[in-house]
Order: sequence, then structure tokens, then C-alpha cells
Amino acid sequence: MKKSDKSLLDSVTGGVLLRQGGEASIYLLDIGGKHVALKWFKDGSSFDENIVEKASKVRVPGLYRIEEWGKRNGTLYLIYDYIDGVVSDKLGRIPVTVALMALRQVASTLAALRKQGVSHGDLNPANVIFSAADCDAAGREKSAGIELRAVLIDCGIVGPGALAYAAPERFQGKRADEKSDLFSLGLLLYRWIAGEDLITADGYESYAEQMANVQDLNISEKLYATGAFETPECAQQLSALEPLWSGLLCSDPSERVEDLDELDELLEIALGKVAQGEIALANAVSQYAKSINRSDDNRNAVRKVPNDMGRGLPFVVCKKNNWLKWAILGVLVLILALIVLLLSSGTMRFGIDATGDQLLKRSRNMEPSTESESTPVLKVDSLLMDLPVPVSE
Amino acid sequence: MLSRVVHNRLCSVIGALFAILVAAVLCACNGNDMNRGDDALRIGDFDRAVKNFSNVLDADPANRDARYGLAIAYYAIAEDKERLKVSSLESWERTVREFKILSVVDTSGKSKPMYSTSLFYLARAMLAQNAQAKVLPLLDKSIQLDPENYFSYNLKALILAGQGDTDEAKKIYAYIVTREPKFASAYVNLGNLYWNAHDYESAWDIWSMGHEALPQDAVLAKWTRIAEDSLKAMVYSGKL
Repeated sequence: MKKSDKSLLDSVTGGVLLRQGGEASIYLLDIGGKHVALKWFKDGSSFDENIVEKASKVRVPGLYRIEEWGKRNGTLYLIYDYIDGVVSDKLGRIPVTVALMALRQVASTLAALRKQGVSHGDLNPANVIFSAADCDAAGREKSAGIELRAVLIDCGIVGPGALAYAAPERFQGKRADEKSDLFSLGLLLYRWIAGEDLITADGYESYAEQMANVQDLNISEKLYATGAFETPECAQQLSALEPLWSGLLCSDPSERVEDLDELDELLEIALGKVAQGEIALANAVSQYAKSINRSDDNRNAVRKVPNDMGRGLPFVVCKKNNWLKWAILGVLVLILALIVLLLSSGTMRFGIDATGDQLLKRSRNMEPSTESESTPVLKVDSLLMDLPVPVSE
Repeated sequence: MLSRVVHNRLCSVIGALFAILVAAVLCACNGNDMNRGDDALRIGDFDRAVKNFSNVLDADPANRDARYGLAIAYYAIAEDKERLKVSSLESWERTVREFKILSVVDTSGKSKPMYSTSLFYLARAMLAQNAQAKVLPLLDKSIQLDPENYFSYNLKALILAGQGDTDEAKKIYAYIVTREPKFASAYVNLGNLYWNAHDYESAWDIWSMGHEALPQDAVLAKWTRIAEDSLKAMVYSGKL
């Protein structure tokens, strides 16, 4: 659990419920003008804090940025930077080229996590957000097109995760690893391309059984059966995808591709076959990103967070530590006032009037009349130099 | 994240405060020539004060404070010459000219006493160079500017007495010692008038009055004693 004297939850100024899932509810919160997502876990759901802690140290564009996690009123929660995009389970069928490119991004993010010894363990379309940006990371102009970024969220869940995407060994209680993530990626790719899950079942046992026999499925045939791959071009796409299915959707982990690097190579080859050059690929991705950018109904959340603390937030904001903020501000203001005062006194000092008054006072400080040996009958012109003068020696 | 949130919130406030600070610093910088002039004045570096105040006036000729500072600096330079007993006429002319300009831009009237004193010194310097110089208009203006400038009254009375108008001179001396009982020279000069008119009793009255008001004044003490001795001698000789 992240150690912090004050939780971000106590700085929340508004929030709204985004969606409710089986394991947690997701809220969009406003904290000092910044939007974050709060995952508020339900009873019985939990996450591996070690994995979350490691994942929080990974800073790559394709991974959500974890800000805080812990327990509030006995409930686990996790706060991460809000990602403005569309959760991929809301998207329906995704063009093959776009799906392959998005999967490459996810694989790249998983590789970064692997370097920290982290496997995701719950790869499914609800945990990938498609974010469309007006310019790319290199800051190119808008005319360069819209970049699509697949951002991965929710690492470290305890349990097999979403059953429709869990590897067979996960049903046997094994921990998530690179191989199990690779299996889930195969199912995820199918879901994106087909617009529906490859495996549907009624319960845990049924899922476990079907996952164990997944290699018996003819994936290309199932895709063809969806009716979306009837053209000659689509046949070529199905052919390009074959190595991926055979490399990922194997019940035996040892038969899957070796690692994420090998998957990346397969994806690159597949993309080379289905995309007609880099420019065509970029245009296809850009067109798709524009299309999801326009469909506001599918967006992850409303852009405006209502400034209403009481509406359905599952926690009470504790403001008792606000005095610290005001104390710091007060001290700063005091220091600044002192500096300004010092500067002002430095510039004003006594002012020119005071200097003039001082000089005049000194000038008119009458000295005793000068001693003179002359008699009072002296003439005016002789007396002049013996006049008392306003000068004080 | 928490620190970033606090940072974001504080940033706007700190930004505003910083802007105030910068404005204060800029104001301080703008006043540098004024400050330097003021500093130079107070430590006696009058030539530098003239330079700094002139810099300010080059940019803003109607700057009252700079104009006043420049006049004070000229005043102090001229006064230094008075101390050194060298010709100060030119310096006082320049000082009075500066105060005259100042009187146009200064509506506060705070510079009037010093302007008045400058006129006194100018009159005195003119007389030192030419005993026949017509300085009464300068002294009248000096008195008009500062009715409590008894130095100008005193000089005016002295000039009137020299011109033979002893009655008017006596009135002025009497006015001075009434308003400023510590003004020794007025007692001395008034006593002189009586003494020169052979009115030794009145002379003794004035000097002894002055001696009583200023027991430390050696001149008054001396002439009080002389007058007293003279009166005694006259009593003894039967002349009184």
C-alpha cells in the first residue's frame, strides 16, 4: 500500500460513477482540477500489492499511471490517471490492421512490465483503452494524423481474471506469467477482430474445459463464419492471422510462442501481409482513431466532472488536514509581505522631504553669537560677517 | 500525485505572489537613481547626488522629489563654501534658481523653508560682494516664504539700520526676540542700536535680557558686563 500522510481521496472536489463491473466500480474523480480514475473494489476482489507497486514504477505511454492504492473504510481502492479514450470492449469489430497494431502496442507494454517482473494476469478488452490523440508523441502537427494508442490498465488482479480470456493453467491456480499473458493476447486479438468472444460458457468449469481444448478450434473458420471475412482480401487476412492463432492459442504453454519478442515478430509479419504499406496502415489507423473520437457515446467518461461530493461516492472526503495547506500558504504570504516591506522600506527610507528637513534643521541650528572685539559702533558692512548664520559647525 | 495536486493549487497563488514580488523589485529598481541621490545627500556626497537627481530629471523633468533633491544638493554645496569662507554667490544663485523651478512643481510647500534660507544666504553673499547691493526684495520674499526665518528678519533690520531707518530696525529686532527669545544676534544688534544712540540704559536692558535668556552666550555676557560697568561709572561720576 502506498504510504502517504494524506490520501488523494481527501482532496477530491467532485466525482461521478463511470461504470460498475463484477470486481469493482470505476469512478471519475476531480482532484484539484486533475481527473483521475478510482477503482473501488467489491468485497472478495483484491489485487496483488507487490505487482501494483512494481507496475506503478513503470512509466510507458501504453500503461496506466498508478497514483495511489490502499484501503479506505476496509475497502481496497486504486487510483490512476484518467485516460480519455474508449474501452475496447465497447468497440465491436475492429479492422484487422488496427487490431494488429494495437496488439503490438499492448505486447510492447507487457514487455516493459516484464522487465519489472510483472505479468498482467487479466488481459481482456475491458482492460485496454483506445486513446486517440491529435498529434503523436513526437509532437508532430495535427495534419500528420491522429495517433491511436492502446493503454493497458488493471495489473495484478488476484485470481484468473476475466474467464473468457484466462489461459488454461490459470484455471489450475497457477500464477500469471508471460505465457498466460500470451494466451490471453490471442483471445483478445480474436475479440477485437470478430467483435465477440471466442469462448463463451456458463461457468468456471465450463470455461476451464473449453480453454483446455481451445487448440481444437478452427479460428479462421470461426472468423469466416462471422460473415465479415468473405472477400478475397479478407481471405488473405485470415491466412496472415493463422500463425498468430497457432502461436498463441495453445492449451500447452510450451507450444505457445517463446516470448513477447517472438509475438512482436509474428505481428510484424502479419501486418506486413495485411497492410498495404506503412502509409496505408497509418491512414487506416488514423481513420479508425477519428471514428472512435467522434463517437462520444462510447467514450470512457464524461469530460466534465460534477462538483458534487455527495453523489454516490463510496467514501467520505476527510478535509481535516486542510489546515496544512493554508498554513503553508500563510507562511508564504507572510514571507512575501516581509520581502515587499523590506524592499519598500529600502526604497522609501526617510524620503527626500525628510532629508531636506534634516539638512534645514542642521542649517538653522543657531550657534551662539560670535565673539567680537569690535565695539557696537561698527558699520553695517563690517558687521555682516559676524552675523549668526544658519550653519552649525 | 498528492504533491502534484498541492503543487498545482499552490502554483497559481505563488504565481500571483511572485508577480507582486517582481513588481516590487521593479519599482525598487526604477527608484534606484532617486535612492542613490538620497543616499549620497545623507552621506555628504553632494556632487554625486546632483548627478543622480539630474539623471532622474532627464527622464522626468517634473519629478518633484528629484527636483527637491537637486535643490538640496546645490544648497549643501553652497553651504559648504560658506563654511570654507570662499565665494558662494554663484552657488547660491544656482540654488535659488533650482528652488524657484521646484516651487512650480512642488505643491506641498515643504520646500519653502529651505528656499527661504537660500534667499537669505544669497542676499548675504551679494552684500559680501557689494555692500550696496539691493537685497531687501530677496529678504522680503524669504520672509514671505517662511515667516519664521528670523535670519532674514535680522539681516533686513541690519540693512535698514545701516540705511538710517533705526526705528524700523528696532521694531524688527523686538519682533524677533519676542518670537524667538533664543536668537542672540537680535539682542546684540538691538543693544548696539541703543548703545550707538548713547542710550546705555536701554542697551544694558536689551543685552542683559539676552544674557538672561542665553547665559552661555559670551558676546551677550561681555556686552552686558561692559554696559553695566559703564552705567556704574556714570552713576559714580554723577552723569546718571
